[in-house]
Amino acid sequence: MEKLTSAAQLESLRKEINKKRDPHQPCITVCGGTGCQAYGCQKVVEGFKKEIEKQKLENKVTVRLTGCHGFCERGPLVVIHPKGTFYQQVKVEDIPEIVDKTILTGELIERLLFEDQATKQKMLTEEEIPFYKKQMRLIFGNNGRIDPCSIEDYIALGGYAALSKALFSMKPEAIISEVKKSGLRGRGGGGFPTGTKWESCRKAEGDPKYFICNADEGDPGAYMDRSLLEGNPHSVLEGMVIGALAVGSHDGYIYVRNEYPLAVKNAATAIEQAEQYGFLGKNILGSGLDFEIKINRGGGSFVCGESSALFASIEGRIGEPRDKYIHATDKGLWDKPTTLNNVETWANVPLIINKGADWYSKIGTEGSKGTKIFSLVGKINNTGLVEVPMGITFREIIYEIGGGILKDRKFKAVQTGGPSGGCLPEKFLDLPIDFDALTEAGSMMGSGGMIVMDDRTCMVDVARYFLAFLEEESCGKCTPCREGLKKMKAILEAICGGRGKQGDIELLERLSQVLIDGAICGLGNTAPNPVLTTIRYFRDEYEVHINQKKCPGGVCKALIKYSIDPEKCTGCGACLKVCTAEAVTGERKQPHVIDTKKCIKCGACYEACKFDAVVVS
Amino acid sequence: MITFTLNGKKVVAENDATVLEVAREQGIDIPTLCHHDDLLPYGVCRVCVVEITRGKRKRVVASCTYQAEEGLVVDTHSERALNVRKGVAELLLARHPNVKIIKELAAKLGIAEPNPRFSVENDYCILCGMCVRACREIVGAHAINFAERGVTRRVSSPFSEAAGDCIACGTCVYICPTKIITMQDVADGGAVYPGGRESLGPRRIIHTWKVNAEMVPCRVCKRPFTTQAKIEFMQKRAQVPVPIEELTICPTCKG
Repeated sequence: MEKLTSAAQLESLRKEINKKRDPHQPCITVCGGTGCQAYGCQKVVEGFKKEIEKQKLENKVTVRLTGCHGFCERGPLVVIHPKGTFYQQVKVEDIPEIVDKTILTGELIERLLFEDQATKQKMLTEEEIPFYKKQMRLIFGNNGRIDPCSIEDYIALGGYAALSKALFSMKPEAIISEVKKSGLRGRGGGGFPTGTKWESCRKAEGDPKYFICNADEGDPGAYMDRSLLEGNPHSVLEGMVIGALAVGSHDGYIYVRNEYPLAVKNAATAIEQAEQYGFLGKNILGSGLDFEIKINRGGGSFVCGESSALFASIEGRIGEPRDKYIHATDKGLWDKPTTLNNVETWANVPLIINKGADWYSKIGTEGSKGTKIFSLVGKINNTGLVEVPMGITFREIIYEIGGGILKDRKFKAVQTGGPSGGCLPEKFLDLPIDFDALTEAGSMMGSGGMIVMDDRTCMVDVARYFLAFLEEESCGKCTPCREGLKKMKAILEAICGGRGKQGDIELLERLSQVLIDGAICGLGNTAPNPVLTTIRYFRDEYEVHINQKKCPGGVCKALIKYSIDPEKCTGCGACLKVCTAEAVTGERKQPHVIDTKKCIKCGACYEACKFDAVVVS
Repeated sequence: MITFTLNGKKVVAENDATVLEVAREQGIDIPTLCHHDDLLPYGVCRVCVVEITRGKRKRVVASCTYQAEEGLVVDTHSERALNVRKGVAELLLARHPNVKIIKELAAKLGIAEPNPRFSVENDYCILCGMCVRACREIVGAHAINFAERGVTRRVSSPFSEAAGDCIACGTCVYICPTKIITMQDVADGGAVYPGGRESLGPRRIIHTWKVNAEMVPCRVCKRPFTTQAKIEFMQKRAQVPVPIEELTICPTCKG
C-alpha cells in the first residue's frame, strides 16, 4: 500500500473500498469482544467460515469478527446484515442451520432470537431490543460493524475523514476551540474539560510535548476502554492525531495494561496500518506534520492509571504518584508538557470534528456533554456495556436498558465510579447522571463502572470490599493512604465480624478526612468515598451491625444464621444436594433441618430453595 | 521574587522556594519526617501539610513540595491542616509505638497513647525513604530501593540479597532518623564454620543490606578506615584522575 499523501487520495480510496462492497450482500458479524471470546466466539466465527466454504458461498457472504457489541450477557452474539438479524447465545451446532435458513432463504430461527422477558415477544434486530433501544451508540456503534484489524473497514465507514478535515481546513487554534465549545470532559474519571487541557499544553513552554492515551483501566468489573481499544482502535488513533496536531506534539504513547492482550495486539496492528496508509508517522497525509505513537504496556498496577504514576511507569521508574502542584500540561512525562486523555475521550474527538461542536453540545446536560459508556454489572438482568447520553437517569439505565433487578428483587443501591466511587440509594434513581450531579451526591463518574445491588447486599460489607481492594492497590508511598486504609479496613472488618464498637463510625469519618486532605494522589483522596457514602445513606445498617450485632442484608457471616422454615419446606431435597458441609439433614418430603454447627454459611441452600423456605436471620 | 501571605503576614520569597523553606526562615514550626535539607523534596510523610488559598479554592498541600507563588495565602496551622497532621501522627504511632521521633511528634500534637481501636504494631522503619534517596541523590550508588507496595512496602537491597552496588559508605546509616540501619566495622569479617574459621580481615558489615565489604587501611596510621568499593567508586565518579594516595589516607592523618 502506497502512503496516502492528500485528502483527495483518501476520499478516492474510500470510494474504491465502498465500490467493492455490496451493501446488500449478506455479512455475518460475530462479536469478538472479551466477553464473547470467553463464550467461545472464536469457534463460532471459524465454524461460519468453514460452513461458507463448504457451501461455496465465499463470494456471496462475508464473515467478520468484530469488536464488542456490548450485550455480553447473551454472548456469543451474531448479527447478520443487511437486515441486522440479531442472534444470541449462538453455538457451533447452530451454524449450518443459520447458513441454510437465514442466509440462503431469509428464514428466522426463533430460538436464537432475543425474547423480551416482560412481553415474551421475540425481537428481530438490535434496535428492537430494550437493551439497545435506549442507548445512543455514537462511540461504540461502529464496534459491531468493523473488523478491528482492518483499516479499510474503518475507512469505509468514514474513518480518518475528521483527521483530513482537521489537517487541511482547520487551524490548530480552531480545533482546540471546537473541542472546548463541544464541552467534552475527560472520560477517565476526573472530568476535566479536554479543550482547556489541550490549550494549556499548547501554550506551555517546553519541547517535545507528549501525548498519551491512558488505557490502564483497572476498576473491578469495568471494561469499556478495553472494548473500545479492542474493537475500534483506529477511532482512538484518529483522535490522538487530531489532538497532537492541535497541541503541536510529535510523540505519542498508548499506556495499556498488559493483561489486555487483545487490546495491545489490535492497537499495535492499527498503528502499523495507520503508518502504512500515511495517517501516522512522517508527513501525515502529505501535510508535512509528523506524529508517532508507541505502545507502553503496564504491569497491572491499579495506581498506574493515575497520571503521575503513569508517567513514572513510562519513564521506567516505580509506578508511584507524586505531588502534582504543577500540572502535567506544564511538567508531565520527563518533566515536559504532556496531555493525557482516556481512551474514550480520544474516541470522542473525531466525532466532534466531523459533526461539529454545536451538534455535539446538544447531547447531554448543561455541564456534561455527549455520551458516556457505562459498564453495567451486578444484580441486574442485562449486564454489558451501554452507551447513553449524559443526563439519562439511573432508573432508565437499570430498569429499561438493564431489564431490572435479577429475580425481581428489590433495588438497594447503585455504585458508580469504580472502587472509589460511592453507593447511591433508591432516592437517586431519577437523578440525571452527569459529572457534577454524581459528585454532589457523594459519588463520582469515574471511568464509568456501574454496579447494581439488590436488597441482599450488605452496605458495610460493600464498603469493606472496596476498601480492601484499594488497600491492596495503594502504592504505600504516603502515610495517610498506606496506614489509613489499613486501619479503616480493620475497623470495617471488625464491624462485619461482630466486633464493632461505639465510636467506630465517627473514627471512620475522621480517618476519611485525613485521606481526603492528606493523601498524595486521587487513589487516596477518593478511597473513603465508598465508606462515606454508605455511612451517609445507610447509617442505620452500620448501627445495627455495631449495636445489635446483626447484618440486615444477611451477608456478614459472623452475624447471620441459616435455618429452614418447616412450614414452607416441601422436603424436595434441593438444599441437601447443594450443601457441601453436610449440614442439611431430612427425609424426603419431610421438612429439612440445618445443623448450625456444621453450616459454613455459604448460602448455597438459600439460592437453591425454590420455596423461600431457607431463612437468613 | 514573589510576595505571599503566610499566617496573615506578607512575606517575600525566592521564586522557587517551597512553603516549608519560607515558613522555617520565618521561624514557624512545621514538623517533618521525610524532609531533609540536602535531599530533593519528597512529600510522603504528610505531617508538614498546610492549608492554602488560591483564588476561591482552599486545599491542604504538603509544604515541602509546594512552591510558594505570588498572591498565595498560607495557613500553616489551620484546623484542617492540623487534623491531617494529627491523623497521620496517630496512624504512625500505632505502627511505630517505640520510635522516639514518632512518640515526640505525637506528644507534641497532643496524642499521648496509641488509639486503642488500632491494632498496635512494632515497626521501626518509618518509610521516610531518606536512606534510598541519599544513596541515589548524594552518593549516586543506587544500591537500595523500595520493595513491594502498600502495607508491605519496605526498603530493601535488590531482591533482599546482598546489595551488590553498595559501597558501604554508611550514608544511609548516618541519615536514618530512627537508627534502624545498623553498621559495624570488624577486625575479621570471616565466618565460623563447623570445620574451622574463614579469615577475611577487616570488614565493614551493614546488616540491613547484607553487605560485608573489604576495608582498606590508612597508608599512614594503618588503621582500616574505608572500603575498597568506596575507593573504586570515587575514582570512577570523579571527572578527573584522582591519585590513589589521596583516597587511602584517613581524615585524621590528612589533618
